[in-house]
Amino acid sequence: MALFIYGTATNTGKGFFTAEDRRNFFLRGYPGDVWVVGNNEKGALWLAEKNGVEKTKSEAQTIVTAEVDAAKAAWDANNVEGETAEAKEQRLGPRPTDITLP
Amino acid sequence: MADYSDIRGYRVKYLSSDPTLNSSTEGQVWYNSTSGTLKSLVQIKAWSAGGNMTTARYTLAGTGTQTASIGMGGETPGSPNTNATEEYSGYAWTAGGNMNASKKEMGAAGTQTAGLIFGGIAPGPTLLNTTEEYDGSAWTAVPGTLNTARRTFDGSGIQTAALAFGGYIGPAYSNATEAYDGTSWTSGNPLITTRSNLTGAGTQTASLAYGGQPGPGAPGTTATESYDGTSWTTVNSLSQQRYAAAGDGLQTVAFSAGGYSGTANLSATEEWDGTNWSTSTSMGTARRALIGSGSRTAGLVFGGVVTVATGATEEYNSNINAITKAAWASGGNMNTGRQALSNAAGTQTASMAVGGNAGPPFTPSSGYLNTSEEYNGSSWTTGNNLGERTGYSGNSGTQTASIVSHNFIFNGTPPSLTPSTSYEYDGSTFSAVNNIAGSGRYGVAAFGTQTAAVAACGSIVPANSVTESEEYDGTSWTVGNPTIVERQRTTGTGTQTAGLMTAGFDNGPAVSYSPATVIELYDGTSWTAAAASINDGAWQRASFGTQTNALISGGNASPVRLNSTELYDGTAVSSNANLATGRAALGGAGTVTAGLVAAGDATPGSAYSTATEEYTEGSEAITASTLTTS
Repeated sequence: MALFIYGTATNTGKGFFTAEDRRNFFLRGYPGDVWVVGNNEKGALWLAEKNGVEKTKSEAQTIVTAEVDAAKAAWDANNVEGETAEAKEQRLGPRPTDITLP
Repeated sequence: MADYSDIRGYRVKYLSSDPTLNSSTEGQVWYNSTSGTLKSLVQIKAWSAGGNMTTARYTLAGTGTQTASIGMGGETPGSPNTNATEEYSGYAWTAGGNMNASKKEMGAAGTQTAGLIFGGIAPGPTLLNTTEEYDGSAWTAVPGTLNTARRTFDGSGIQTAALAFGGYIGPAYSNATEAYDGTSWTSGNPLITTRSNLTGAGTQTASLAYGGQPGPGAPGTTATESYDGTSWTTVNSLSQQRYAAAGDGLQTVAFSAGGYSGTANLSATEEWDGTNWSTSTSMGTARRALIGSGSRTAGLVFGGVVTVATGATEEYNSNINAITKAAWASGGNMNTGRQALSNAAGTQTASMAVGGNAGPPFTPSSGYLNTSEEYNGSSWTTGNNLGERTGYSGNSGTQTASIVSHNFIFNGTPPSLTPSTSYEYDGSTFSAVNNIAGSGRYGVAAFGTQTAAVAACGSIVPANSVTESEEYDGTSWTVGNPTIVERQRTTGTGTQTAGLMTAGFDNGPAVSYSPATVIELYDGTSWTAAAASINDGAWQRASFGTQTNALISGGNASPVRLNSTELYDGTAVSSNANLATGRAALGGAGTVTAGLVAAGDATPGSAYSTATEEYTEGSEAITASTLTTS
């Protein structure tokens, strides 16, 4: 059995995941509203209750990668004439890096 | 391998029942001979989702506690910097006063009601040395300025005794320390490790600095330093290299969460016990350039960058109490959707509501209702009819003994407005009783019991708000002292000798639909204004509870239908759990322990709601864990 369930769900704020949820199953959020959830009954129920849309790992990875690529492109395109690389990183923070889903 | 007695200095106890569970029991292991289980009391460490910030942002500043923080400034999508402040209640973020300048990467100290912000960078870009003080509603620029303008640093302490350390002064990184005495900044001894994007915790004379970026392009550092009011000393390091992380606490108990390692955003959390850092459970979402507040046992992080700015908030709890937040859960739907129904007299598991408007259209068959419904804690049952089709009625008492009064009457076309009638309900039938004593009106605040009720304010023809107040003694109505604020479509709860009224709006020749936020308290004789006011100016809200412990929920802030809930504890007002469905003109009943709202107008122009939501108060419980082999 796969270790994780993959899906998308919008974080609606308070109560979206609770401390009890965190104790009951693995839960980790990623760009693009992608959530990786422990593959047990409570994890599956959580995704369903949050109106989540289950994805395959590949589909979820594609969403995350697209988000990261878009962020990279935005970072690359955001330039100030004469600005050093160091100054750019101070201004924008580090360039987004690839994320590989577990 | 060390055994339990080596570690704890005790042997495992053999007990017939669990011992008293409190902080002194923490870490103990015992065998419960009755249940046949090996048990322990351990700290529960977990992150949970908090309310999302209204504006997603990163490189912001923040200070406060898990249930009373402020977040301000930072960079927002599509706009370089913001001057906006948001206040967190433990449930939701609401707008606070704007800073005097838009900026990001500031240092902060203090509390939600006495905050301090210093330094940062303004659009331009311009490094800042300015200081602003927050009083819980507005920021004031003060004369004291940092000796070294800087950004991406951190601070600690309170509004009148703060500390600033580290940062970026472009192009150099800084190790400078400065202390604020409420008036001016004075330079102190520098950090040992120069760095920016570090995290700080503690007080002006007992601070902790950890993590950060020691130089251009460098990965995060694990370096931790402790400040004694005079100088910094190197102490044990973080496990995880990180900068642009969140954290807060004291010099002896702090937490660190998230940040950037130099190659990836982090979700890792560490706890500081005054000597060592230890790894704890991870945040839900890895991110950097977020901010933290609170403590090691009750922490808060918010904002930051995932790949784009986020407004997500997470709450960290690390203690022996299992914390359950107050929450609304769906109950059984009413049989007929309606708005402007009466208050739902009674409790969460035994209440009754009557009348209301089921339209549009406003016709005798689909407009105002004469039907009542009773709730048993799971479902509504249609009850007997009132003699007239009513709306906006007052309804005080219980499911089996209430007084329904100050009714807006709509029996046909054209509408007839004769709001002077009054009915008693005995759990089965409505019986007409003496008319009200004051002006015919509707939209009152009604509370108390069938034999000791109060109805206050309301709307008289054509639509004017009044200050009239009446008491019912089980037989007749008597006009009492007027309220302080003219209002209608208001709400009330409590008893005839300890009542509360709030919300609604004033309307009349001199004022047009002006929302009322004043809380008025009734002592059986006269009305006085409470020191606190509700935050959301709206009408047609529901309230339940007592004079000193009341919840006010939903409401009409036209055109918005509120889902907010506010708690008045007899002294102050704070935000509480939001309704799942925002709505106005809803009914409410119960207590702050177990409350109820039902029906209402959720979406202007659409069918009125049948939905019921049940409120359960939050709780903290110490629970022993059963040890298993898996």
